[in-house]
Amino acid sequence: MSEIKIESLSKSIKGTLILDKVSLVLNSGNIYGLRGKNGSGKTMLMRAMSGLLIPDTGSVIINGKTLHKDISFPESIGILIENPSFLPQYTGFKNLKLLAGLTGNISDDEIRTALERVGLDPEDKRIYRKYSLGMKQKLGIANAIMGEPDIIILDEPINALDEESVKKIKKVLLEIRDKDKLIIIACHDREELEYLSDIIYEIKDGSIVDRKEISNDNTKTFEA
Amino acid sequence: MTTLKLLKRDIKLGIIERLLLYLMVIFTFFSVKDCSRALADIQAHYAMQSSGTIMDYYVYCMAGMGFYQFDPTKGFLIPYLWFITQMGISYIIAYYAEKDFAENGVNVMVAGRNRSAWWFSKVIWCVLSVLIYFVATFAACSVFAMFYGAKPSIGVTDEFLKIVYGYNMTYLPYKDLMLIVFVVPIAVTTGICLVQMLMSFIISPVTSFAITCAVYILSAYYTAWFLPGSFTMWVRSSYFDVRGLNPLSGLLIAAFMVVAVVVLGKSYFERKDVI
Repeated sequence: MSEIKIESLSKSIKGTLILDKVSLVLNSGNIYGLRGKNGSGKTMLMRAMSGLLIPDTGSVIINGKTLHKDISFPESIGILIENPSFLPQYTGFKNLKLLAGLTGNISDDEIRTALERVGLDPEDKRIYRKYSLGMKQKLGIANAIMGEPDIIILDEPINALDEESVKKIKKVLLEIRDKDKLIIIACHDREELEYLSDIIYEIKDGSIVDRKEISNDNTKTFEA
Repeated sequence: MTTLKLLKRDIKLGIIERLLLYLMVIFTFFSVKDCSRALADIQAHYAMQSSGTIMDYYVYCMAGMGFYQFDPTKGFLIPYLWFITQMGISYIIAYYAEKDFAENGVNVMVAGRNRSAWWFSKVIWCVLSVLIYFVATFAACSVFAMFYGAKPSIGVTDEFLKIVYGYNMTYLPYKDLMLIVFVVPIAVTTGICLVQMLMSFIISPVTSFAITCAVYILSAYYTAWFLPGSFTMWVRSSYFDVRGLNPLSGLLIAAFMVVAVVVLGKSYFERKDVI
């Protein structure tokens, strides 16, 4: 069971208020969608939940531990925020292996499984520099889901993916959610976001302005 | 534990995969060539038998320049071989840490889950890079020196050093010579490189490299404790020249720089947004 509790979180960057007293409680077993225009604060809210952004006021509490006070980053998290970035001279597998080595509890088999789930070949000898845009995106998703962390945060995960890959990713995310994981997604595609999400938050000018529960979600499974 | 895991990554990416950069120590060849010429002159004029040792060559290469006193009839000429040696390591450490943060900071920090550990790893990487650079410089100097006929000995030829640097050398015990030729320059260079690395995050790698370059040039012109480049030239040591800088104060300044960079960097990265 994971819980993210955000209490009156505000953040300004270079004098511009980008998050304005955001309060939210997110629980595992759900996919939360974040919707809003460009610059509305979705990505910054995701960064704050990931521990990458230091709040000016308010707090992010993960399973009872306050970020930047009790912990630097959530203890079990996978993220893909904006463009994925990996070491260009290594293969996808080697990139993930290096990162898994830092996380410490992810086996080679789990890395292979993550790559296969997003449609990448773990034995592919091509280096990251030679990857297409879609492959880079898939590797970013594989990085976020490898080892199935308790919290997964994905910013525009289906960007640059073809239709078949989108189906595959949706299936994977729903499977992971059903394992009582907490998933947060930002997506511009309204239909896809509504399909995937159990609850959608609308963000405008750094504030949560709407909350919408998606009614058909309890038994939602992927239909390929 | 996390620091060790991150350090393993930094050694692989920041040292092993960038070993070619250390080839710039071949510049020591020019210093060695100068030294060999000086040795040949001395052999011819003073009837010295020894062809020098690799330590003689290294001591010669790392001397830098004596005090500069303004003279309107003579221009200031930077000791370019010393300057190239010092800038070599500054160049090696200039970009890696900042680039790694900008390109991989999000993935690495989230995977490592520890901001301080990330910074400590970069500090240790920087210290290791400086040590490896000086080992490589000594090795290159030794190889070139042996090519010119130097003996593979770490002893020094008193006669040679006395003739080149004057009779001050008579009163300089070997352990003090090693302190001012190896320990102090390496310690102070480490401190300067750490400051440069921290500045590369706060301003930019190019600007911090340029500032380091300026500090070294100013250090050659003025001899002062606050221009730490002077400590990397052993002929400006008070052990060698009474007007010089006390090497122990060099060690203190180096220690201060290391501690300040570790503490300030930790505080900086604990408050820094990773965007």
